[in-house]
Amino acid sequence: MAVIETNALSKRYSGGIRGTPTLAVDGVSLTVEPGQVFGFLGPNGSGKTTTIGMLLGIITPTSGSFRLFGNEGPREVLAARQRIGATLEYPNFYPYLTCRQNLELVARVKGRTAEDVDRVLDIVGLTQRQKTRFKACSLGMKQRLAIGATLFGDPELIVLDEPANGLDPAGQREIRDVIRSLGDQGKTIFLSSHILHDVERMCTHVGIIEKGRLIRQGSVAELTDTRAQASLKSDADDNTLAAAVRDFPGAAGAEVRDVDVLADVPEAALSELNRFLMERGIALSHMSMERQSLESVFMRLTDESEGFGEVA
Amino acid sequence: MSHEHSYPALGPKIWAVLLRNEWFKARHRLAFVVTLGMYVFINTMTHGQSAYDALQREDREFGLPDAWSAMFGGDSILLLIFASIAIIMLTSSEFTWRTSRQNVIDGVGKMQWFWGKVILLVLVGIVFLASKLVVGVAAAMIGTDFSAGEQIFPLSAFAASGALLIAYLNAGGLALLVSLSARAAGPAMALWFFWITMGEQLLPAILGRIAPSLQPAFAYLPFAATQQVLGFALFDERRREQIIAGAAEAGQAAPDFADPMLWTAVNAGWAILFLTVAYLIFRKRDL
Repeated sequence: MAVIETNALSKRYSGGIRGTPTLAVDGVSLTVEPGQVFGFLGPNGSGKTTTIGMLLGIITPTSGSFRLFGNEGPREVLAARQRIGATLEYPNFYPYLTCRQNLELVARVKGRTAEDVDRVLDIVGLTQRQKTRFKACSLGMKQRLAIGATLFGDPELIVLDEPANGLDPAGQREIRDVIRSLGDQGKTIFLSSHILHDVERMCTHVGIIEKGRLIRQGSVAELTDTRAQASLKSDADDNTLAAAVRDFPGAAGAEVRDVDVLADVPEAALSELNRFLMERGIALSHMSMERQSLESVFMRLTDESEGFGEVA
Repeated sequence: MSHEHSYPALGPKIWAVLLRNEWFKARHRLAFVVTLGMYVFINTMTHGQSAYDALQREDREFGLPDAWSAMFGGDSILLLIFASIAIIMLTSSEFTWRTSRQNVIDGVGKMQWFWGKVILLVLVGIVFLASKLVVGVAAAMIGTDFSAGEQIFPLSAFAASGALLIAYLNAGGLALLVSLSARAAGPAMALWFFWITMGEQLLPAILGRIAPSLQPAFAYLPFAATQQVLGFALFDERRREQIIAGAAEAGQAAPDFADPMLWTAVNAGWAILFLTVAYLIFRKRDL
């Protein structure tokens, strides 16, 4: 049984009186299985938070449906949500209450005790700062508090939306360690992040969403393997080599770089490509596979050419 | 393993959790404490002054049961205003801080969250009313003649308290409605004050000149209706007789007394209408 299963989930915002209607999420069908650490990726405004918001009950879908732990009806979904710990976008707590008081409010809602509050404070390393008001906390503390609040009741699914947003490298590493340790405990984690090398290191699976549509879903290994590229050098001019590669039926493209040509060819077709080039009088002096990073796969799929900092 | 039994949101226990959490949030909120404190201060000054005067001057009296008239007089309108302001501050900031959506993410059902605010509405009214009664009764105790054999806490005082609470639910219901609609304290406060000043004062004055026949209908407007139940004499026959006798002694006609049942029902009607509209708006909108 899938932990999350969406079926053609869509959300259209009317845009108000003068605004333009926006299709924020367009027929998203994704599946998250138990034990997966699922990275949900997409550029800013691609529909990630809206999708998560629908799963968490704060946004009503325009059409489509979803199941949480196999449950679909309103009461069943409310029950299923009790098995989820989640935080959306920024840590949202009462600024005038202390860390502990904020967690106490959450604990009551989840039917937990003061001992659970102590345990959670300990897990996220806030025991010493439990009496600090939320408004006086650093961003790192706020993020840790948010993750702490998701841990009440030992949830089976943890949903984290941009958990490392705005953190310095040390803070990002802290959050990464917490998430990794949760993943190691076998929890299903659904995570959206714009730090793609973190996602690549932490996640087992990813879904990529752009302009509201899910354009790719699969395991990280599968995605980076299928997009492996070959670095080629030859006795011919690089432009001639690239043009010849582009003529190869199995090639998705070729790019001239400073010292070589990068051929977008599946690993299984490399021998065939070598023969193909030999027939055209081009002898390769170097051929090696370059596994694409999740970042390059993501950039290619979303057609983004700008800096990564803009991608979220 | 069934998770249903251990989670408050799935059973009646959620109401106790909502009550506890709403009160916890309110009593730790400086804005609420200051608003309540100011209200208590004003009441203390008003009733304290009456008690002091009664002690100092022989021609003044301030003791129960007569002091109920002072407690449920026209200045009870302050309760409606202060408590409604508290509701706006406590509710609209949940949207500014996005804690409303986090509460739902944490497991409170979306409509349970709404009912939590209705619980808060009632709770704030009870707290303000209780503070008013405690201060008023404490001040009046000083001048009360316990040997007179009069009923110090007549049933009419409870009836007047109930009517005042319902009148507050009318004004506070409107405050909750604008808070859930505007989702920010400033605009919500502006809308609420705009309605009780412009909407119910200026506009009826203009329309009343154009069409005088409409004048009686303006008394049924929400905030105008709250003022129809302010007055202890409406609920207390003894006090009514005193007023009628006083008028006769002065050679004046006996005043008309509003029907407290009718006006309490009007206030209850407005409160239900405001809460129903708030419910429908909240249900439709995303958090």
